[in-house]
Amino acid sequence: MPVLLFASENQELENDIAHQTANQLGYKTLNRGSLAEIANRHSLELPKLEDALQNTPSILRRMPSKLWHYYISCVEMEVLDRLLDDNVVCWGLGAHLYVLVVSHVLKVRLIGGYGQQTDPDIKREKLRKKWSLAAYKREEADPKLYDIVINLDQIKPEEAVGTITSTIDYPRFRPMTYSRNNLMDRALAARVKNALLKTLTDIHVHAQNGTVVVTTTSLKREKEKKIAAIKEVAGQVEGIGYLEVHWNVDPVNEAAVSSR
Amino acid sequence: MAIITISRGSHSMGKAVAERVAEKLGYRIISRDLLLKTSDKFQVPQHTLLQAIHDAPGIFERYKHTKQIYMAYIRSALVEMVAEGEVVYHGLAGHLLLKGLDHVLKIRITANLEGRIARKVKEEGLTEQKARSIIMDDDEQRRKWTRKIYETDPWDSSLYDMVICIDKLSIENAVDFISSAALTEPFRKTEATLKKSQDLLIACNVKAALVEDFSDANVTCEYGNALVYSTEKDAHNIKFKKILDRLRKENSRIYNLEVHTGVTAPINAV
Repeated sequence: MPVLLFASENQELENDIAHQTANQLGYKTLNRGSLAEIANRHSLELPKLEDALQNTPSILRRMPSKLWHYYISCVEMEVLDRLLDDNVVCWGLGAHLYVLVVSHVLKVRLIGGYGQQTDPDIKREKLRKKWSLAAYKREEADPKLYDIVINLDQIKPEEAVGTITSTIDYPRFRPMTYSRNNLMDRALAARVKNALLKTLTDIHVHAQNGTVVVTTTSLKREKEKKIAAIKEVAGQVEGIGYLEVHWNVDPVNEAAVSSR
Repeated sequence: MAIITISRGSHSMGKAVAERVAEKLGYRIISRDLLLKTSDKFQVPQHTLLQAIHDAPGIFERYKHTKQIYMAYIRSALVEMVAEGEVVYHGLAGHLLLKGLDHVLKIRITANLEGRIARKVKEEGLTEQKARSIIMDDDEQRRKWTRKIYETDPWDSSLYDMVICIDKLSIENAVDFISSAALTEPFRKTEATLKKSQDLLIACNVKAALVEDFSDANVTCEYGNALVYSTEKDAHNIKFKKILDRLRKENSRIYNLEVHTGVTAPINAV
């Protein structure tokens, strides 16, 4: 059965609507309540993990970019793993930004519902935009990321729940072999990325039918070393059929080194 | 008994959705016939209006306010057409032209670019490259037009009550969502919404009468009492006074028509 993803800047309404939808459909829920378990499984500090999902990297908060990307990859990996179960309503974990083109996943964005928008609301929206761009190079407010965007300024939450629950019944949201494989590939890519980000940076992973392609950049002189490290770490991840590493020169650092 | 506006990009299936919604709810459908009505009402050629509503303003038009004039005419005609409710409008900028009416259900239909191109190729027999270029150019014109005239982005979801992506959902799904939302309480026609539509119509008619010579004048209307916000200079102009006198005589729905000078017009003024 399908997977339902919610996204909203209004966390209170998102929580209410997601819980009501899950109750009506009898689906499991996946939200920030799972963070403690994720932190425990990956030996992460829970406050830092919560902070990483809220804010962009900051040296002042002792969250450098490398660590921040690793923390986010832990959440991504765990979420994708749990979404393979079906019958899940998920929100608050940024899944709408990395679960793309999976036909049995319905993505809903909830906007409005604040009444008069206040300064903190606007600030929160800006922060979310900054976060989504930094984490996934996608703008959270981009309607193209979603199947439906519902504005709660006029439409009541219970009506929104009604619309969503009736939609999920449509045959096109039933998981098919292709869409399941698609989600499994994304979960595999997330596992590989997570394993690599533990020690390396600048890693992009794509998987298709079990074939994993890792793209990375480095200085020319570090090429062999980096490729070998990727092959060694990624090779240990379960489920990989074939591994390919694509390397590109890091032009900025290369120019800096050669001008010395 | 709602008023539904459906905004869409070209070849996004928005027209098909609008037609099916109108059929399902038994509503009247309005699209380009708006231009015919405007043309009749204000004696402006249809192709001039079409240009005004489609192309972004050029450098000279920004000084001559031509777009502003034609948009005031088009708005006045549209408000007149939808005032009684039970209408689906799927022409351009409905959600912006009907701003001020809370009971309008504003929908945007989106579709991915590749699908839109494929539909254009199939329907018009163009090459893929040509179809892509036309659709992208059209989207860009829409964006520029909305930014220049209304200082907003048509892709901004907060302008709509619902944005529906037609790729994963079907036309039938979209029709179901829209028709069930249209029947909910916030979008129902009541005495109050009818009154508000009539007030907006008065404001739009007054604005349309003034816009050609006094483009800075703004108008509000409540319970038939119209307030014109203008500059001191305009308010003393004989032509300005004549237009208002004519409106007082000819428009029986105007209960009172006053001029306010030196005051900033409210945000909801037309």
